[in-house]
Amino acid sequence: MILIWGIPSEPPIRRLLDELDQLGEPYVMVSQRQFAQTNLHLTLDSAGNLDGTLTYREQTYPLPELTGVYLRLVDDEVLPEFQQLTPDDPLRAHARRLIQHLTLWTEWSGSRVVNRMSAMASNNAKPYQAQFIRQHGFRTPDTLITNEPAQAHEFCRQFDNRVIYKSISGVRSIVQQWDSGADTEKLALIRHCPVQFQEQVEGFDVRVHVIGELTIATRITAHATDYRYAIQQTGEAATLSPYDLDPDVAANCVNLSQALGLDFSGIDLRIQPNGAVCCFEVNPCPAYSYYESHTGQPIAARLAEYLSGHDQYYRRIWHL
Amino acid sequence: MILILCHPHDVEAAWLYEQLQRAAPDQPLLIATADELIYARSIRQTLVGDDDTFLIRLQNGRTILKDEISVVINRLYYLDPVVWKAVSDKQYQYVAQELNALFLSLLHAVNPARLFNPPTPVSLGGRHLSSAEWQLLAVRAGLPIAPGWPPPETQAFTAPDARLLVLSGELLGTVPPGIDADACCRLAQLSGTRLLELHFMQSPDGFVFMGATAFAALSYYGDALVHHFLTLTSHDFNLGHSQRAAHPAVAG
Repeated sequence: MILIWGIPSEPPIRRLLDELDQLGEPYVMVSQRQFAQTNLHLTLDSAGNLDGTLTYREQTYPLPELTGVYLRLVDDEVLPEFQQLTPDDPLRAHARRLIQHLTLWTEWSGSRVVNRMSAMASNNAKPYQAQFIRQHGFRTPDTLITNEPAQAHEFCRQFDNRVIYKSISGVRSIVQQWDSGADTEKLALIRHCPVQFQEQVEGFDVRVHVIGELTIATRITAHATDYRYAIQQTGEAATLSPYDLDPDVAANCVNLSQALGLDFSGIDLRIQPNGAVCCFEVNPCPAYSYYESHTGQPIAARLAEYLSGHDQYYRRIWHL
Repeated sequence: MILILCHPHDVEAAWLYEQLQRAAPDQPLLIATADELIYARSIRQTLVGDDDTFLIRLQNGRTILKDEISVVINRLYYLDPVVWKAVSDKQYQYVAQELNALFLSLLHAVNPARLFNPPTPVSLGGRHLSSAEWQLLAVRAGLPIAPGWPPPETQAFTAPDARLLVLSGELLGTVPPGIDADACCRLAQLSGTRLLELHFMQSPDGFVFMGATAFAALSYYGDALVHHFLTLTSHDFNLGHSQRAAHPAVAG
């Protein structure tokens, strides 16, 4: 049985549920908003094996039967049901404990988890993740992180001002192109908080979804610096199409995802005019439905097969 | 250089600094607090071509260069740029995330063999586990725990009846009766933590494991710990330095 935990109306979860239905695979969908009707009871035997039960809306499920888990959690604080609670309402502590127990069980039970919370945290620091990326056959854009205006200025000069800047952490930020006129004046502000500058890399974007050992690649064509904001930046939407990924690059994507402890990831590549492959980042909780809805690529279907350990998944891996 | 990174009121880090300075006055040594790092005059990390380097110049002019570090004793857990609270909560949250992300990256760039302990994306101080997780790993390693797992997360901290330190697979301190020394080392290994203090309490059935922390009470281990760190900077440990003779403070 598969456990899905998150907000059921979110498109990535909705699509996964559709595909589990198609496969005829049993699942339990735990809505994070129903924390008051959810309980996780954990036990530990003398050898350190985890056991216990999940109770959801008065139904009880033995944890060893939940062999595949898909997590797409939001912060409790944004849930309307949580916001309505008074500060001393015991349900607040219950909601927190629930997530602690879920974290503990998914980290240490040995179930197939997409993805463990500890692994998802790597995206909280882009240059940290870049160090893994560089070890797995990809180049990363030349990068300077600094609080020194003169160093930043020199870096931009070295690249003829073809530079972008963006956040260091996982805070969602719109990638901005360096404007040597307007931005030079603002440069003094970096004294108070270091900023990440990167060479601008030419080429086209490819998003690779890694599902276990399978890859599904999508080419994105856009004139914007950040294709997620193509309409705002250029007035023109990005176009997406299936992309045939080089097998060596696909293998590097799988290895990188595994090194980060991710069973499912969305890897952002840029294929340069000389064929070099530059990798920007690895998304540990990809909103894959965006790519699927524009291309019809079977990302949710493969994810459902992977989570259920379905024969079809292994036939695809072994090309049977 | 031996580099100690800590929070401003970390008396254990200050103790270690004094002991190292006394034992090896010629050894380059620097202690830097979280505030000194947050408000450093210069911070620079470059990932250019195959190069991956960093520089931090503190307000007092002392400089930390990645290539000059022989050992880092990392006792940071979170960088709090508290002055930003006066600007706006949103800006404060943003700067805090940016700084913590940057120092995660800087520390990760240091050879992990030189770093006690390497940071994780969850905590700058290394592996951060709940009491229930530590006890789960302890059972898997072969250590006894008190009945009633999982322990309540809200329980007040009680001083342990016994403690010992695992440092690079070696034990410092006295192993409590009935506790398997190898199991203690296995726990450190399972958690991926090379500097780990284990806490035990006495129960009617003997000593049981309570929890563990990467933020050890260093002074408890005295000269043995100091000598261990000095040894790491000299012989018995491949730091890529040309000179590997035993440090004079611990030779002979």
